[in-house]
Amino acid sequence: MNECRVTLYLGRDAVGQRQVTVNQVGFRHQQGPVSRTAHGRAWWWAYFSLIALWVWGGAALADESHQTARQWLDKVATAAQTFNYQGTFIYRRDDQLVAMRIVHVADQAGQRERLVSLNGALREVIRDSNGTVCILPERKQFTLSQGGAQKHFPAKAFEHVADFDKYYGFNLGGKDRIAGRLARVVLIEPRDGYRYGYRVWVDESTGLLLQSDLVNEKGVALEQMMFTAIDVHTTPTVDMLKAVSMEDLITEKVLPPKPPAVATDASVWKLAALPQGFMVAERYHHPGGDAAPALEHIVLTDGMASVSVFIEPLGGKDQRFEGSSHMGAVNAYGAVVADHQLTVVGEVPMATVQMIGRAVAPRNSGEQP
Amino acid sequence: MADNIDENVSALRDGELLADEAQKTIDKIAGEDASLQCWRNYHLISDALRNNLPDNPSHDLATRISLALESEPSLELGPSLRPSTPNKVIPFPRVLRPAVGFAMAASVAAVAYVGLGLHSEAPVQPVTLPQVAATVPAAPATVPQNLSKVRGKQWDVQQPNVASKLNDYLVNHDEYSLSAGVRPGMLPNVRIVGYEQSEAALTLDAAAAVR
Repeated sequence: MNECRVTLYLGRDAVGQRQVTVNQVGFRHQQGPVSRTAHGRAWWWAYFSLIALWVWGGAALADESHQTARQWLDKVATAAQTFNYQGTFIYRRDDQLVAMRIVHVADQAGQRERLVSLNGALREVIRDSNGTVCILPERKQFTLSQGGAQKHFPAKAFEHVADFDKYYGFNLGGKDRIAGRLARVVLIEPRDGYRYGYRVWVDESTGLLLQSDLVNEKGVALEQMMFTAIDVHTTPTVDMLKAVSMEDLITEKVLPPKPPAVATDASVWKLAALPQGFMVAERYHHPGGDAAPALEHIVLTDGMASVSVFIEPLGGKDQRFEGSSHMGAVNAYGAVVADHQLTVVGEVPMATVQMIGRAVAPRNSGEQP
Repeated sequence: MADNIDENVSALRDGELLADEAQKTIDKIAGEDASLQCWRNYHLISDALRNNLPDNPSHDLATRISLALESEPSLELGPSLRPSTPNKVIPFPRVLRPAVGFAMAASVAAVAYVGLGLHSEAPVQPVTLPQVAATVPAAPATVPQNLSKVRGKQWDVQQPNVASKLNDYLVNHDEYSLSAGVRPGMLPNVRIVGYEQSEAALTLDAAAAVR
């Protein structure tokens, strides 16, 4: 006869006053030797079959989970481009919350979108296939950047699956409910320390993104976005069309478009020894203006996250940025290389921006760039 | 028997006694110095376990409050303060309240310990007798120092020019990296609209402060 005795001490032993004792009596099976062997064999086979089934079924399920997770993510990419919707969401970075309103129209005239902050100063970004307008009052300026639809509404899909799989694992999470709608959870787990993970909630009926967490290696969400209300329309309403129209803005305010950045292949800078999986996606040359000097901009990506490297000549009065800084999920690394200020910014771990920063050097290191 | 009363006092402290047991224990505490001391010790231990102790808890505070209270007019307790639900586990605060009636001095001292310990970062100042009653409720008013920091969280750099430059870079990064990388889960431009929020909030704060 076995008796299982569990004793709980309640942190009072310093004064020896109290202890709670829980007696749990169990495991009183009387087992004869005959029944034990017969039972044993039957149980052994049962266990064996179960384990075999579990291993085989587990592998199959994992594969299915992976496939389905990717299908859900593809659905997100497509839904973002095909649905008319408007809604309110909360964005959290560190311990700061911002509520925003979004209106997205996708009709014969193409995609248009307006994003407005609902807290503090009124900040807006409106974009259509012709360009993006940022209205940022604390900068006392409107900025308009122009470029093709490809740039402002890039087609995104999980096409390069093989590449992703090397650096991220995809899994299907459970079901949930966000903004009153049923959602599927998709987990994207990094396979090394050079990238963050993602938890994504996808609307079951439309595939629209309802919530997302950017998660560090400890599983802590560094940045979160969650819809609190979202309405999906088959055709955009008059109000929605008005909200995403840029015409008033451009004619009334006479927006001077800021000189567009030029994509370039020519660069006097090279990048060596990048973190695994990261490669240069684009290089831009931002022409200088009255306020800002000309700037070289290199965009890197591992297919999922992106990192920007900015290089500009260092003036005598300029404050140098050397070292590391962070804000929310975004890490920054600064260094001075050959009289140039080098700054790396991206939603990747600190080690990644540091490694990328240290990889930048003049193409011909004997020569001044 | 002594162990038993100790156990009961401890259970009373945790709100685990039934109403009639609680009553008996309270009577005991009120009538017996040893039990009263035990009751105080439990609170002290509890506060210590929860890191609620002031830097230098004054052990004779209870005595001084008792002396001060003797010169005060006695308080009438409303019926709502009495335990009215027999055969039911009483939560801790409700147990503490009847104790006020019977062992006013001890309980006030205990409450004062909790109150002083909760927020105060500075050591508790010794106070002279007549001021005790007036000082106790005011003590937890110590304001947490970094309330404004929480809201204005920005780049952790010292130079403001660098922070502003980093913001510029961030806007460029978000705008130009749209087509590079899937960035699952982040709607485009959300960071741009959200980024300088804290700066804007601080500006609003500053404007309000000037007015």
